[in-house]
Amino acid sequence: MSIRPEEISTLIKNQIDQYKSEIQVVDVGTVIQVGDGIARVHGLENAMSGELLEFSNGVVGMALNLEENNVGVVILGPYTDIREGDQVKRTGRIMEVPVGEALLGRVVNSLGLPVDGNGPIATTEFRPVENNAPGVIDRKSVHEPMQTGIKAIDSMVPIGRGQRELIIGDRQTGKTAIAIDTIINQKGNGVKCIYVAIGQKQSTVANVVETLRRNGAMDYTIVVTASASEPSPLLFLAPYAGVAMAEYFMYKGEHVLIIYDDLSKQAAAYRELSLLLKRPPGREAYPGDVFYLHSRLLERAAKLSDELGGGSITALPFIETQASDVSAYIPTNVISITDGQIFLESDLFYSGQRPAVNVGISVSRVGGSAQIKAMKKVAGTLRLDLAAYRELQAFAQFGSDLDKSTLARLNRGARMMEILKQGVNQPMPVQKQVVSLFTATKGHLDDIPVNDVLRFEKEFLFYLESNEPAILQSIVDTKDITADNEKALIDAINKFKKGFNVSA
Amino acid sequence: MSQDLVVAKRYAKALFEVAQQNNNVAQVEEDLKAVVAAIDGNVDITRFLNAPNIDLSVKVDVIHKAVEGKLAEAVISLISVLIKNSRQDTLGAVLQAYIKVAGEALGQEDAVVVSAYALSTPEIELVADHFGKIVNKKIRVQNVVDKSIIGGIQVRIGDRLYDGSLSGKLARLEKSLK
Repeated sequence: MSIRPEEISTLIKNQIDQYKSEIQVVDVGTVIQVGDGIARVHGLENAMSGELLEFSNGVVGMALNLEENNVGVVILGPYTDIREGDQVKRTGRIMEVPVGEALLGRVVNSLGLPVDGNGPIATTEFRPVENNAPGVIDRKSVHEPMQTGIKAIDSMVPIGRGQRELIIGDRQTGKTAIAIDTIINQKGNGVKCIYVAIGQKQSTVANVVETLRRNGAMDYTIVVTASASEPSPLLFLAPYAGVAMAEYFMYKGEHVLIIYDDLSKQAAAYRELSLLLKRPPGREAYPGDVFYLHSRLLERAAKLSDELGGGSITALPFIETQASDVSAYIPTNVISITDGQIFLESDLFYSGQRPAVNVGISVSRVGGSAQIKAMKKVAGTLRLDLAAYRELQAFAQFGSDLDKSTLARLNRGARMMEILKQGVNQPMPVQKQVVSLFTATKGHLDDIPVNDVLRFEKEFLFYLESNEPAILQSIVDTKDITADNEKALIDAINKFKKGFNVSA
Repeated sequence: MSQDLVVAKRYAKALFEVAQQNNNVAQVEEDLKAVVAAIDGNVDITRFLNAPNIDLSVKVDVIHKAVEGKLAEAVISLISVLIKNSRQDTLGAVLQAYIKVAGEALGQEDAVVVSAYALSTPEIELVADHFGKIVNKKIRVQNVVDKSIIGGIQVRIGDRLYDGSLSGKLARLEKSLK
């Protein structure tokens, strides 16, 4: 294509013409008070709630409080060079973040700006951070599994696509490890992942990103980070920014997994904001709308109906408890909002039971219908058996003479607990989980010493993969344990056992 | 501060209603402006009004004697009421609120026109006429000279800023090049 000089001249002429007539019309106000990340602005009588405002030094803010004669603005950025008397402009836009495929593999802050040093992100679309959740008609009940790759979770607290499953526990109980494993396990199945780090140490976030990259999981993952050093408005906004990015994919009919790590920090950031904006404090000094803060966020996780493309957002919010106190304000709130919870306990963690999932009190209210048949068959009795085991175990600690059946039950229970152990960053595909759990629940491990169970599992799965791949494939294909593949599996177990060396 | 503004609004509204009854809205505004200017311009008056050891009735008397006959009756009464209620600090805010209330009722608004050089009367009329059509109100222009805007004019009506200044254009150009 050739460019004619006259055309360029005309264009420039037009631009000069327009430039002359360009008058900027904006609504302005003046800063009357600034401090602690909050500014009060006089004027701006037409400002909208949640509107983006621009300070004279280019920093943006969000209007949160609209009062009779001033507007309470949270400043989203450095606020040290904002002064009293500065001009504040309305932008007419509600707070929004860039969304799109270009964000995948990137680390961004709450405003969607890159923080990984890999240059600008070529996005063309924006979505408002505050958006209405899909309504009743737009939804469909959860029916597809969201595999975490963790045996203890996929078997007993199954998660479905579109579900909201709370992961709750004290610090250092392996919450983040579950998040990372789940993300890694989504490799190759088309699920987009969004990891929202709220109030985490920069080093922790860097570690997470590094782990994901090493496992090839960054290709389909967006990391939204508002680290501990960031001002509290950004911490408050981060989950909303993350879910806005997730909605883009959901409304395109894709499946998204979003992890909020963790919401207790977000609640604390919101409390800080609210107190500085002089909203009245309530229980534990949280503002009155702290329930709505989380409920409106988690309601945006949904499984859409087929008419809307059938996309989904699965949310895994994290809550950090203090000394296992789940009756504090924020944990009870989020427990009541979500479709179930996974409890992680430090006692279990330190006794070597990792992941430290307390299966007795962890529940999934909707995930059961998303489990494949094979898993239902092997895991159906697992929960009850484990409950019976724990009861017996407590009882048997005192007794010496145990009858044979009790002893057998204790034996079986110890092996089941052992098979639920799993290393970090080693998520397991569902067919292998089924096989592992099958060996334990059907009693094929009863004659293997407890400390050999994990080695047996590993070697047996390897044996199956190399010698009898048809069995694993048939579980994948039929999603069930049929009479045929059950027989083949038992044969394979017996065959393998003959060659298995029990360690001394 | 914010509390004062709310209070000022109430006083201003009452004052406006009184002025409307007496048919001297414009005069009340002029008088109020003069009083505020006088008090702002003289620290001694402020000190006198705020002195806690002077009886309220004495303050009222003094003010009455000073301004009797020179100002509209409503303004003098307003000052007395403010002093009696220990609200003399809000007088400035009352004026601002009054201008706004009166402007809304009479369909007029003040515009602050910032220009690099003082505008001539026909120019001011032109600006008032032009912007009057935009906001559908009668515009009273207050011309402020500010060399730093280099050229063009900036018109501020209420919260709305019409920025046609050269400095504003340059700032926007700078931003678009970043």
